[in-house]
This record gives sequence, structure tokens and C-alpha cells, in this order.
Amino acid sequence: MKIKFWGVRGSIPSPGYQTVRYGGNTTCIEVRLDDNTLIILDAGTGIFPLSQTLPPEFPLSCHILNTHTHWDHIQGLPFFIPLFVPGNQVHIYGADDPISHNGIHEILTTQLQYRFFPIREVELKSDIHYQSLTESNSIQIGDATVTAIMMNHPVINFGYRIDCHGKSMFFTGDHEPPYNIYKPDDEEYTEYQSIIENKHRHLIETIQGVDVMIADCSYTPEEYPNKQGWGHGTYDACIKLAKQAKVGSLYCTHHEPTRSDDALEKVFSEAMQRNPRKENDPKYYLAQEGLEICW
Amino acid sequence: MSHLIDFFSYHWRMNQQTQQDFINMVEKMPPFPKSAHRIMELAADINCNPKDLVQVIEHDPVITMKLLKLVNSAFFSLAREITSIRHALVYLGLNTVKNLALSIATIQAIPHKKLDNFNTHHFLLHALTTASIAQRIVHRFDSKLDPGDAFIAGLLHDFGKMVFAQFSPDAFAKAIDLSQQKQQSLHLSEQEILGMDHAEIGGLLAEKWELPQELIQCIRNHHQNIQTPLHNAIFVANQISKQLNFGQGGNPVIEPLPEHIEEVLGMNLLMFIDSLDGLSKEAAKAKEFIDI
Repeated sequence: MKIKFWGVRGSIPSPGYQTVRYGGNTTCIEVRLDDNTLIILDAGTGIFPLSQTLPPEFPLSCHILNTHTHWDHIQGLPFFIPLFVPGNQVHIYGADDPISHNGIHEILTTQLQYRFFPIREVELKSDIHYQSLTESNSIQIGDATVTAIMMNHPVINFGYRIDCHGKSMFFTGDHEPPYNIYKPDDEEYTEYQSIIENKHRHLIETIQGVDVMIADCSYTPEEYPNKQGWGHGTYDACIKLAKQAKVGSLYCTHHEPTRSDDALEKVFSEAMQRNPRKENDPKYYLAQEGLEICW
Repeated sequence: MSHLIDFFSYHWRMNQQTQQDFINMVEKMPPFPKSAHRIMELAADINCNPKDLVQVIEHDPVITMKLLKLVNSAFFSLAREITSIRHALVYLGLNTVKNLALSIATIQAIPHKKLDNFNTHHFLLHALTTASIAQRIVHRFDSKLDPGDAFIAGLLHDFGKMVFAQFSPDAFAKAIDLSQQKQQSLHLSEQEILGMDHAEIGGLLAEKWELPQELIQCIRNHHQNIQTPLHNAIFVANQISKQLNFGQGGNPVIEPLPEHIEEVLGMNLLMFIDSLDGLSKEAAKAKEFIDI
């Protein structure tokens, strides 16, 4: 299995000299199975540079797994070059929207409206296939099994586990660990806490033992109280989860758009000091545009 | 036949209810559910306290039951069964639960009682499709309006018909027949036969329910030529729902768009309908929602 990061920034593309080392594109992760089957996790602006490497593989079949439909995870999709070339097969997977009941096809239909984009959906030349996913039904993509799990974000967000020939990875998409809405002296506190713990156990079971976990580490613990409810995690919460699930390594992503490269390294290094790595603990890394992991 | 209709309309005019009768009818209508009011308030507040949301949903057994039924349906196919509103909050997140509750609560506010001479299912379908179309097109008239307000205004615009259908069913049935015969707008037939139309009595009901002023005015004036953006959105959505036969509110007349609306849209009603994709899907979704 091979993973390459094409976009590691949260919320909004953040180009500029202060983000040039880690990169300013929004979420996009290339996953290659051993037979080179292409799975793409999210279509943030990072999918555009990725797509420029793909023409040698045309006619291409690829699989885009959408964690959720917020802009920073779909913004690059209209610029995904394979969509425009006849003979390519593009499979797009994701959750249906429970409020509007619209399916995952709505992403492109909405983005490619005449007023917002010069090319309409009917003018795309590739064969596009949409598949709505649910939590309890794993799917097969080539030799890989993909399992979706509901994470916590202000819209339905699936985390995806990919297993193939004994290798495995997990991507949270955007995720804030659910917090107790009651105070410890409220009578509902204990019951709510036990629901949170049950949900957490289900998450750990799903992630258990993956070789690579890529997780939303937007905030430091100091920043978090002002951002509670925004749907993003902290370095410390992700490190804790990675340890509990006994993963091989944790790649911290969804970097804050206002965080410079130097500031990013500083907060990461402080997180490492707060959570010193012991033997058998996961290895911790910052996700970086262009970084490849191959195992 | 037209003599017969004339006879009926004369007969009914003689027996028209007084203003007091109408006020009595409105008084007899069930109150607007407090929980729906409160959920609407909470949903409009970006800083809404999740505890308040849980409390208001949990105190309404019907909304609770419907929400749990929905989250445990095949649509979500969750790996775990959701057994309580708190459970749903942990599993689906605050924002999703808040928006689900809002959709359920507003529809719940419409009485679902079966009535002899009036097909409430068809009525609900007309109301709900008008609501979702209004929500979708409201920004054509004012980009700052909350689409949620347009949804609620669309949903409630014909509420007055439910008052007639419940408390003056025979006269209301005659008004519907008269409209069919004369191919005239139902509100005119209601004025002839009942002495008041559904928009006016709907306005009285909305006042009793203490709905926001803008909503009251929108319900009361939805057959008048008033030019507010919300009014325009409801007017157009109402005509689209009728043109496409989404449900049935008893009014056979599809009114052409007034000049000022055609100017804003840059086209007539049929062209505008053609320019909107997926309208039949809206109707299918509305049907599904009514059946929850």
C-alpha cells in the first residue's frame, strides 16, 4: 500500500511563503493498492496537482471516497482532469444527506451549475458512477475492503478504513471527539458519558491495529475551548486515540489555515513533549504535501 | 349545472358565518406545538445550547419517536441502533440532529387528522412541495432571506384550509366544487360561499399561534399582489407545485406570474420550471417525509 498527501490544510487553501513547506492545499490523499488501484480520499484543492500526474494512466479507473461535503473536501473536484476525458471511469462514494435526502451525486450537480462553473455536469466526458455508502455496509474496491464509520462533525462525516492484503489505513475526515453536553453534577451526565464511551469503543474497534492512521488534529488543547463544537480534533485527543487503537503510526493533518510552517512545527513539538512516546506507542508525524508512505 | 352552483352559492351566502364564527373556529384549532416554536428558535441560534435542544426534543414524544425512527431507518443504516435523543446527538452530532428535528417539528405542526371531504395527504404534499420549492428559490428574490423562513412560510401558507375543512367541511367542499366549475381561484369561491377565504383565516390562526409578523402577513396575503421577497417566493412556489400536480390543495387555478416577478426571474412560469432541475425529486422526498 502506498499513500501520498496532496492536501493537508483545513478549511481553506492557504498558499504563501509561510506554508510552503507543509503545503497550502486542502484535503486530498492518494492511496495506491499493491496492484496500483487508485483510491482518492477527498477532493480538496490537492486533487488538482494529483490529477496532473494521471494522464499517463488514461484510460483510468479511480475511486474517490468523500468523507463529507464541506467545501474544503470537494473544492478541487471540478478540476479533476480525468472527469473530462472520454474512456475514464470515475467512481465517487460518500454519504447521503439526511436533511435534504439528496445523494452523493449532488456534489458535482451543485458545483457545476451554470452560474458557478463554465462546464455543466452533462458535458463531462468520463463515465461517472456514484455510490451512496452507509456505516454498516463495507464495500470492495479492487482487492480492498472499505469500511465507513460515522464520525462527529456538523454534517455527516465518514471516517474510512481501508484493508488490503493484510495492510490497513484509516482516515478520520473531519472529527471532533463528542464531548459531554452536561456538567458533572447534572443527573444526565453519567448516562451521556456512557453513550460517549460506547461510541468511542466502537471507533476503537473499527480502527484497531491499522498500520497508518491519518487524523484531524486542528487544534492545541489551549485553542480548543474556543472552538468546541466546530467539529475538529486536537493533537492530544488523536494521540490518545492512536494509542488506544494500537495503530502503527499517526499522521496529523487538517492543519489550521492560519498556522505557519514554523508555528505548526512548534505546536507539534509541544504535543510530543506533552505525550512522550514510549516503546510500542504509535509513531507520530505531521502530514506534509508530497510526503509518501510506502509499506 | 351552473344554475345549481348559483343556487348553492346563494344558499351559502344566506348562511354565511359571521366573523365571530370564524374566530371561534380558529380558537378551536390545536395550538402550534410549543416544541416546534422552540426548535425553530434554537435552530436559528448558532450558539444554541445542546442541552436545551435535547430537552425540548425529549419533551415532545412525537418528535422524539419520529426522529429515532428516521435515524434507525435504512436511510442511515447505522452500525448501532440509536435508542435515545442523547444517543443520536453523540452519534450524528449536534448540527445534524438540530436540522432533523427542525424538519420534523415544522411538519408535525400541521394537523394530520383524517377528514371526510378533504384529502389531507394531498394537502400536505402540496404544502410540503411549496415549502421546499420556496426554500430553493427564495434567494432569487433576496439573497439575505433565510431559506428556512421560506420553507415554513410555504408549509403554512394554506393552513387556513385546514380550519375550513375541520369546522365547516360542507361549505368548504362546495367552495372547492364551485372553483372547479367556474375555474376560479379557490379563495374567491370561499369568499362567495363562506364569506371569508383561507388566507384570511390562516392569518387569524397564525396570529393566535403568535408566529412572527412577517409569516402572518405572508399567509394572510398570499393571494394578494404584495411585493415582498418572501411573498414572491411563496407565490411562485405555490404555482409551480400546482402546475406540476404535486399534491392537491383544492385550487384548480394556476395563476400567471405578475410582471414584477417575471422581471426578477427574467422568464415566465413555464420557462422558470424548465430551468429548475430535480423538481420531481422534491415531490418524492416530500412524500417520503410525510410517510415517516
